Order: sequence, then structure tokens, then C-alpha cells
Amino acid sequence: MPVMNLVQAVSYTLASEMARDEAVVVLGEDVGKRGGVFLATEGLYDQFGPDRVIDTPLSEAGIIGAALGMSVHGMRPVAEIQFAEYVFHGFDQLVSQVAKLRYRSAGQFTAPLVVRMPAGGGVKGGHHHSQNPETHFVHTAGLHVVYPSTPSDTVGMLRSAIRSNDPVVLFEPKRLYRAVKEDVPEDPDHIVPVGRAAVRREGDDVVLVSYGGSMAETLQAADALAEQDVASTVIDLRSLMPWDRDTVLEHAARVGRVVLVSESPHTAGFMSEVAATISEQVLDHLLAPPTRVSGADTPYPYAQDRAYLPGPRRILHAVQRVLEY
Amino acid sequence: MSRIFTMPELAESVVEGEVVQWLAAVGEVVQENQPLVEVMTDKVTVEVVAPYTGVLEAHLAAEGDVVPVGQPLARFADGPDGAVTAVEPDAAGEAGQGEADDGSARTLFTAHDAGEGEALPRIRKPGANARPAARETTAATGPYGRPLAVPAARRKAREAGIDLTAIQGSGPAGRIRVSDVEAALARTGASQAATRHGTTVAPELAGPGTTRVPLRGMRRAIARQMMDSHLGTARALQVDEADVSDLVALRNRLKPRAAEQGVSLSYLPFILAALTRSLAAFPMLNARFDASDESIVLHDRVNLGLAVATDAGLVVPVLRNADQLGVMDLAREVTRLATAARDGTLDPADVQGGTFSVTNIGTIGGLFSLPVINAPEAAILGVHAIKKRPVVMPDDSIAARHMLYLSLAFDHRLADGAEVAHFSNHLIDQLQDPETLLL
Repeated sequence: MPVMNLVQAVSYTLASEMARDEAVVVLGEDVGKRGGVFLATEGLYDQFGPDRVIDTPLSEAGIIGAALGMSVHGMRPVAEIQFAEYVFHGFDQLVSQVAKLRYRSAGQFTAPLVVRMPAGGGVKGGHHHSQNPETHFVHTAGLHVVYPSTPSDTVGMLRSAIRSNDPVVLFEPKRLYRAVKEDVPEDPDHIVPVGRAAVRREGDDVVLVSYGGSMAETLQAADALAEQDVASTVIDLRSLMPWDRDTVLEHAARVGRVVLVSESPHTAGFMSEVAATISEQVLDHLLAPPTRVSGADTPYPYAQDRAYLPGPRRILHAVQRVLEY
Repeated sequence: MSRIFTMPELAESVVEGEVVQWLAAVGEVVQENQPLVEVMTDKVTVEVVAPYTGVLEAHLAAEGDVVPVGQPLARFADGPDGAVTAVEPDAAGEAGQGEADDGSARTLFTAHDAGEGEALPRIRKPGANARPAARETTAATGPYGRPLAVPAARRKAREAGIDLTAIQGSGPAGRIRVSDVEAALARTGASQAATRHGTTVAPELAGPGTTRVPLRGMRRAIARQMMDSHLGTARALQVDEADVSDLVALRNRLKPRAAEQGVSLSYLPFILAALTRSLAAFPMLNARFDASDESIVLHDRVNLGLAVATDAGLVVPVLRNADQLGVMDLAREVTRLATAARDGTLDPADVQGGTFSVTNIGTIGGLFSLPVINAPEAAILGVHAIKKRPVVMPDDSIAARHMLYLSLAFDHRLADGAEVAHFSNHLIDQLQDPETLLL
């Protein structure tokens, strides 16, 4: 099995799918000869040529609009938005056109496209290169939203996204691009289904739920807890729309104490939805309030890049709170 | 930035205090050491002074609330002079009742929270060396009159059919946890009873139009003791009557003589004297049942508990070595103990070590009663009013005689009905031949 990091898993999967299906094309800013600013499309231009690996102008509306048109005509475009927050220039295309097409056409047309976006902080990116705008898209009915945190999941979920007949927004945790290497499944049909969480640890004292980049700090916190004989269940949501309620509710009810970690802003973040669902569905089993650890309700601070992110210290603080409640 | 002031340790072994009166109003600028709140413990009433200079931002306990030591009492904000300094949240300390991490607590954010080479907070697991789990705290009710409880504890209490307001919470701010509900269930055994009888309170009996009196102090102790007895004994009742006409005559004859010695002679000392002799003859009723190893412990001495009604509630002082005392000494002891009980001047030793109890109900009224055994004793004797009643005499004539009802509640685990009937006969024979009691 090949060992690779997360960004290599992206280019590996794109190459694999492009080889399998001629309808798959890649487009975006600098994705061609340059191989993308994070090298997520490295080598694709040489392998598949300029007709399938398309450098676009600096126009996110153009990228997403073009991808929509391609998808309606039988192609399976994978659009790269260079940094997630650039997507707002193409926001209208995505939420008003892409997300609605199947419904506006009463199912006659679908938009089988993927929008990939590197997201998240911790890379000294400042206000416009560190954000986590996933909640905007979760809140747009008609889009699938996934956010893997490991190379293997990135392979399986990007493949699921490309093969899906509905539009998928795929966030990539850019600070984990090169943080972890692992064996990824070589099977060219290995997929990770959209909508299914992964349980990374099992323990009876507290449930930690996270996704994307914050999975790294969540697992660090779980390690620190284990050293102190606090056993945690760690759930990696991986998929935000649809999300795996059953897995989360099962463990929340079993353990009764839940800490929800996400680096996006606190108010109306995705974990607010998780907390609300837990409260609605399994309140009777809870021993403490579902407790969020999140980014702040401020623009992402360039000067306090690390401080903004929920780190192990804040996660442990929240765990203490739910244990003592 | 604000800081939480918690209930200080007011005296050794004091675990909670009742807020009697706030001496500083919300919004007031208070100076360090200025009287802040008057707090009553079971031992003393003290004025707690402000620990800092600053603005009193909130009272976190209302007057009348019982607040465990270490739980929030008040919140201070920076004063105009900024004297209250920011407090560094301590995960090992205030986290249980701390603010949620909503991203607004500046102190939570550090530039180095990457988890690399940094000392992370120590987690304190409940039940380990955290707050004492068994600490007695009061059921906290919030401003809306509902008890503070975690959802799973509410569910457990609901399913068991028990009332959360009757449960002591051991969590922060007196919050009821699942373990508190389980402890309450284990203590009362109410789980099965409630399941059988489905004790649910009709809504109109729980809301407006009712007054809820917290169970405290002596009432609570009595309630627990009674329920322990009710659920922990196999109670049976033997009711008898004694013709005490001769005892009435004897007592009336001796009463002025006793008064000369400063003794108010009632019937009770005679009954106690008879009782001690009957207990000597039937040791199984001067005993206790020890469930821990399923044995019966027989007592050599007779220490009689005497149920005394006081303004505060039922008190049972113990008349020690009653079998060693004559009628006059018994009379003196009865008077001393009853007076001390009513005056609240009993020594702890005066209420311990009983082997058998007597409840004298006759002075108030009633025909006869079913007393609750003062567990773990074997039995309790209810003594009722002596009244003239028509009685069929041996020659079939009807005469007005002084009759006394005696109700003996006994733990059937220690003695059977026949034995108790013999005991009762033994007692009645003495009361009907009272001169022997003076021997």
C-alpha cells in the first residue's frame, strides 16, 4: 500500500479517477502547470494534458459556473478554490445555481461536480487564508459537505465525491496537508461513503467529536486524557451534510458527556447543530450539557494564529467541566 | 473581567451555610473586608466579608439558599479603580461550574496551545480526590422552583417515581447527579414501592397553591429514621387491655407522699417498672436484629427510650439501666429527661443506647395506635389513656373499671405472636397486681 500525506492523497485520487473516467476534469487557479499552490494537483497536467487540467482566470464565479456547465453536459469536473474563503466570489453560483439545479429541473438535471477547498488556520495565513466557512454550505440545502482529516479518508471521500451524481463541497484541512503520513488503500474503487463518521477511539468517560483540522488537537487531547486515565471516545465526523447522527447519538447516550471541537467561529457553527440534536434526541441520557470548544466570534486573527484554534488545553478545560458537572 | 467568590470554610467540619441576608446590594462597590453576607451554619451565624474591592455584580445565592463550602456565592466585576484583577481559569479548580468555552473568555486563548511540550491541565475525576462525594448538601432549586439536576438524573428519578426535591445533590451548586438519585433509592428502597404504587403527583398538587417546605434538621432525621424502620422491620401489632383500677388506687394513695419528696408521680413509672421485669422474662424483646450477619443481639441491661413530643419534633431520650431503678427513681428520671428534651438541653449520651422504647400517647388522646419501632430495637410499647369503661366482671355483673390499652409493635423477625402474647400477659398481670411493683 502506498504511504502518503493528505495533499498527496488528493493528487493520487484525482489521478486515479481521471485515469478511470475520461469525464473527470480538474480546473482552478494555478492547478495546471504549477500543480496548485499546495501541489494538490501536482503532475496531473503532465499526465492528462491541458484539456483535462485547466488553469482558469482569477474568477471563482467563473470556475464554479464553468464546472456547473460541464457537469450538466456529462463531465465530472473537480474545481479547486485556492483558499476556502475565495469561494465567496463564486458563492452565488454554488448556492443559487449548483445546489438548486436538481430541484429546479425536477430531477431532469443534476450537477455532479466537486468543489475542493483548502480551509482552516494554523498556517500563519491571516484573515483571508485561515477560515472555516463550511457552515455556509451545510446551511445550503442541495450540497453535500465533507471534511476529511486523514489521507485514507481523503482518498475515499474525494472518490465518493467525484462519483456522486450530486454536488459535493470537499474541505481539506490545509495545516494537516503534510502533518501525517499513512498507508492508503490501493484499491482503485476504495471509497468512504458520504454521511458516515469514524470512531477513532472508544472510552467511557467522555465523547470528543470533531472533524477536519481540529481532529489533530482533539486526538492530542485524547492522548493527554488517556495519560490521566480518562477514557475518551473520539468521533471524526468526516461528513457534515449529511452527518452521521446515529453514531454520535449512540455514543452521546452511552457516555452522557460530550465535548464538541471545531475551529470555526462559535456561534451557529456546525457543532451548534450537533449539540442541539444531541439535546433533542438523547437528553435523558446526558450527564452534562453538550459543550463546544470552538474558534472565536471574531475574524481570524493573523497575530494570534494558534491562539484562535481550540487546542488541547481548552479541550481539557471543557472535559473537566463536563466531568465535574 | 469578573471573579467568582465561593462559600468560605466557616468553621471546622462545617460543609454548608445558609444565606440569611445579603449585606451588600448588586451593583454596589464594596471594599475589601466590608461585610458582604450573613451566613448561618448549624453552629453559628457569621458575617462573611468581601474578599476584594470591586463591584458586586451578582448574588449567586438567594437568601434562604443553603450553599456548600466552595460553591459560588457572589460574582465581582472590576471596580472603578480596577482593583479586581483577572483570574486565570484553572481547569483543575473552577471548571465544573465555570463558564462554557464560547470563545469569549480571553484567558482561555493562549498563543501556545498547540499541545506540544506544554504542560496540560490535570484532570480531576469526580469521585477520585475531587469534592467529597458523600458530602451532605441540600437539594438546590433554581429561581424557577425546579430542582437543579442533570438530565439523566431527572430521568432516573422520574422512572423510579421519586421526587427530586427530596434528594440531596452532591454536584456543583448542589446539582443532583445520577449517583445522588441512586443513593436516595438505595436509602429509602422507594424504587420498588414507587413502581408498585405509581406515586405520581397530580400537577395541581405540585404547582401554585402549594407551599414547599424543605426537609431540614430534625424533621429530616425523623423522616429517615421512620422510613428506615418502616422498610427495615417486619412490624406486627399486639393490642391488649389491662384493668388498672388497683394501680389507680395505689397511685392516688402514693401521689401526695411522692410530692413531699418533690416527685410528681404519674402512672408511667409503674408501667416502666413492670416493663423492665417483663423484658427480663422475655429477653427476645430486649434485643436487636443485626442484618449484617443475620444474628440477634440480646441486651443484658434495659435502657428505655421514651418518646417525647417537643416543639421541634419527636425526641427519644433514653432512661438508662431502668431495670436497676425503683418506681420513685424511675419517676425522677422520666421527669428529668422529658424536661431536658423539651428544653433542648439533652446531652448526646441521653439519646443513645436505647434497647426498647415506650411511647406514651394517652396524655393527648386516642384509643390505641400502631407505633413505629425505634429500629434497630425489637419492639415499642404504646401506652394509652386510662379511662373508666364498662367491664364484665367474673360474676357477670358489669362494673366501671379503669382500663388501659397497650399496643405493642414488634419486629416479627425476632419474636412470634404467641411469645409476644405471653409477654403482654406478663406485663398485664403485674399492672393488675401493682403492689408487687414496689417490691
